[in-house]
Amino acid sequence: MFYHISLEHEIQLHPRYFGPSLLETVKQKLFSEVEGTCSGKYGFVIAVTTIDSIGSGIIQNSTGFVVYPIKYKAIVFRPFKGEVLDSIVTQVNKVGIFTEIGPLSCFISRHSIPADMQFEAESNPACYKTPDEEVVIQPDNEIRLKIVGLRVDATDIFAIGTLMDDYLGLS
Amino acid sequence: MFGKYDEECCRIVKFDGKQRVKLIEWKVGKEVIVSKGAILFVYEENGIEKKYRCHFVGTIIELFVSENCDLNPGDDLLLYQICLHPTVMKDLCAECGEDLRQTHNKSEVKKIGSHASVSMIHSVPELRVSVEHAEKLGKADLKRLLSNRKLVLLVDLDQTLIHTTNENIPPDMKDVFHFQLYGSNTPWYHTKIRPHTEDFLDKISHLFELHICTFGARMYAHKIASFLDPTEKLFSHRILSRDECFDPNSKTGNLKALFPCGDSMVCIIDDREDVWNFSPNVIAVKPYVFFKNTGDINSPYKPKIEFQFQLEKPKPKVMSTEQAQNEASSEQEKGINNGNDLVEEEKPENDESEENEKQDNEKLVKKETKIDEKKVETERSEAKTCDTEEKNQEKDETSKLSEDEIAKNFEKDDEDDYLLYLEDILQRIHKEYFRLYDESSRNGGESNKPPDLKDLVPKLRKETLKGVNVVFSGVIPTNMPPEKSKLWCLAIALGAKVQKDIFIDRNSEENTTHLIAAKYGTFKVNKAIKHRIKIVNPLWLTCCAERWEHVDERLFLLGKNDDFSEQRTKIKPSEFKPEVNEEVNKVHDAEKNKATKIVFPVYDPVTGKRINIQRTSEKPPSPSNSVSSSNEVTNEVEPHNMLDFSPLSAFSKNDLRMMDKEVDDACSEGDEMSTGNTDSSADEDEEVLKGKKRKKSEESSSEESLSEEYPKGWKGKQRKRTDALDDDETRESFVERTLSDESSDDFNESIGSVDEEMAAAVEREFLS
Repeated sequence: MFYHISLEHEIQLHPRYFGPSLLETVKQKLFSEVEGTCSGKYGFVIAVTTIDSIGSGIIQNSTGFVVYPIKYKAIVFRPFKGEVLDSIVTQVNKVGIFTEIGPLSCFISRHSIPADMQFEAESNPACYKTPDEEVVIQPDNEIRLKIVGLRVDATDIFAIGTLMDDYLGLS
Repeated sequence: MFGKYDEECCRIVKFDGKQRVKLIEWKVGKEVIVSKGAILFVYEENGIEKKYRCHFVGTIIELFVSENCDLNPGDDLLLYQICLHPTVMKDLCAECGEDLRQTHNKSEVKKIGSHASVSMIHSVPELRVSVEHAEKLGKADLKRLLSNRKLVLLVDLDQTLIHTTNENIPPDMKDVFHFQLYGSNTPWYHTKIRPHTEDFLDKISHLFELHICTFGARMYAHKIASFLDPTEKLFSHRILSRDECFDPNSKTGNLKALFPCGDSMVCIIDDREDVWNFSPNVIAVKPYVFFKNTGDINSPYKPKIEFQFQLEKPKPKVMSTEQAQNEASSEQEKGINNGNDLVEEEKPENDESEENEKQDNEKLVKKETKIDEKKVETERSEAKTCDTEEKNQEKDETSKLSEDEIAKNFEKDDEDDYLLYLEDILQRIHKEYFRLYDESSRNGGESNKPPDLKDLVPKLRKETLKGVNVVFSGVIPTNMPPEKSKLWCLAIALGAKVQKDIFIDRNSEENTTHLIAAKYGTFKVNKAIKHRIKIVNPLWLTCCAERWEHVDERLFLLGKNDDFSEQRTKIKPSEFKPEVNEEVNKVHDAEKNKATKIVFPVYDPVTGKRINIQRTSEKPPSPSNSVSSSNEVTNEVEPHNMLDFSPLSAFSKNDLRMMDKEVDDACSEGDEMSTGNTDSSADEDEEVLKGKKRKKSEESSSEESLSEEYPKGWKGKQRKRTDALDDDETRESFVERTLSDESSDDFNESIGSVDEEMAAAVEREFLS
């Protein structure tokens, strides 16, 4: 699920950047440090939309670095158990299917793939398909899945998905 | 009721409907794994058909209600076994989605811990499946392979299909790929693909399912795979790299995981049999060497050098020519500024390409240089150690080689056609396997065991020299049981009969057909000449072993002046590890000087027990020595090896060689022998060091596992590898790395890294 939320971040800046484009550097640094990261609590930070405030910088007495507290709004992607999402297949093997939902990778076990779909190792690339070959799942396909499990770590999220529900699978 | 299932893990499902319904049809059967959302049965409620969905994950054991029966709320529906998490990805059950790190039930944790343990997918070691599940998948694989009439072939990369170097090479070489793996500022890799590889893989892929098994890092392996197989139709995702290897020194450990139903259909091509623990289904490939100065850059440890008789005479060191030119130019600078010559000496050789451009100029100034050099040399001779002096002379000699010759050398050696032979061998194996398979399935049907490649491969190999009776002369050292020597074993493995002495009886099968001799003049050679027995050199045997065919003896007839026993002594260590450049040599010597005691392990040939000879290390060579050596001009350059200055030099070279051989042989048999550690003490010391480091990495592994970039322990493993600088090559790269680190480590970057570190720390605090 996507959220637009307020977040805070502290930027450390080397003294050599002190100059006319100081704040521009701070902003750039915020983008590069924050976008694309993942926190267990808020999920993946997709994009910073607005910078609400850049607090007054405090110079560290030991290093000379300046620290800016920044409040900003960002779009975050936080997956949840039970959520239905569209994903792109990255790898198909005999144990299951690996997919990616943007920054989130998700694995679907063979048992969570409809039983009528059989693994075909010989075809190139390997795929899961129904006997009548009406449905073929192979790398780069878009499939809809439901998340059944999430591993949320401090800096990463990993998901387990299933295709066992109505309207899931190849879309 | 529970059958083979554990009662603790079984649950009964009751129907939770509000009213009486009619069950129309079960959609599941016994022993079926169901997951949440799967349809269990269809029922009729008030005349409307509805689906009953599963709200648990597990294996169905028994259905209590039969079809077309009425169901009351609260009735027992079925018995199932809860999910035992047969497939686990990153500690998350892939069936039910449960986080196994947070499982509360202790008894469950125990069962699960032993459950999902096999990582079946080459490139995703985090994905583990249970043994039963793995076997099921393995069986399906076997069945599929047999029905497609294919076998499995594990393909090694380095020195089997490709050769990669980190050294600087001319930029416009044919069929060489250049790439960097870890972004700019990281080492360049130059990969030459063995001639005929494309053809070979294409043809072989119809007979074998190809897997890559390499000790290269994951990025490297996948990069190479993309060169070999851009469409991914040969290897697909079946790439096993060092990152996924369980054991850093052996590839055998992963076999059980990849092929849970046994490796009876697995064939392996590798240039190193030792990494497969000399498994019988390995076909030892003739190592592919294209870049003369580089060995296997991903070798787990230094390959054994014994028994590498060289086909041609040892070539002059090609790459060192460039080095030498470098040297010459730095000498030139020294002529101007010879105060700090040591600094000049350590100048890295990265600027070879520039040097090449300067080539023409250099030729002009070379004469001057030499004059300068001599002056410089005499001036410095007091201060410098003798080995550097000698090196300079060596460079002087070799620098006469022009660059054309280098290029020629690269071109010339690209005539390697070994893959054609290998293709033939593999085709024969495939044909024989399915001939046996068809035979057995015709005779006994399913009950017969399918043929095993571990029996078949040695059997086929044994047919190579069938009916050949060989005698060795001057090849096997006398101080060891001849049956244990490598050539002897090789001859046996090829199906030849080895005799201790020449036996003449034209009508008997025992009649000696070949004499494998190292040189003319021995008793046996004379006898063989008398009886017109073919006299070949040992290369014939190795060539037969490489090609699996009876090679024409005429190619390997022993010449009158050949001496294959001496050739080995002539081969200097510097030629075997030519990648050792000067800096590294210095490091070596420094280290060796540091060590107060050097122990050379020697083994009693009879008992096989280790004899410890402890010697104090040698002092650096005296300056007077260097003066004399600077005056005499010799082609022979002493190896800059501590061994030559050590008291052991009292032994003759032959003696030393024997000792080395004994040690090596004992090492290779180390698995069977229960007697003690066969490593040299230097290695032992390193082992101790490694042990310490391992401890350290264990301590830090808890932090590492938090970062989740690698699963726990991975980084430790990698770090260990870099620590284990036991082969010169890694040592070299290490030195290079540190050098480049120093050079690139400007203020800018160091600040950046501190910056990032601090930011990360701040963030961590912020998040917690």
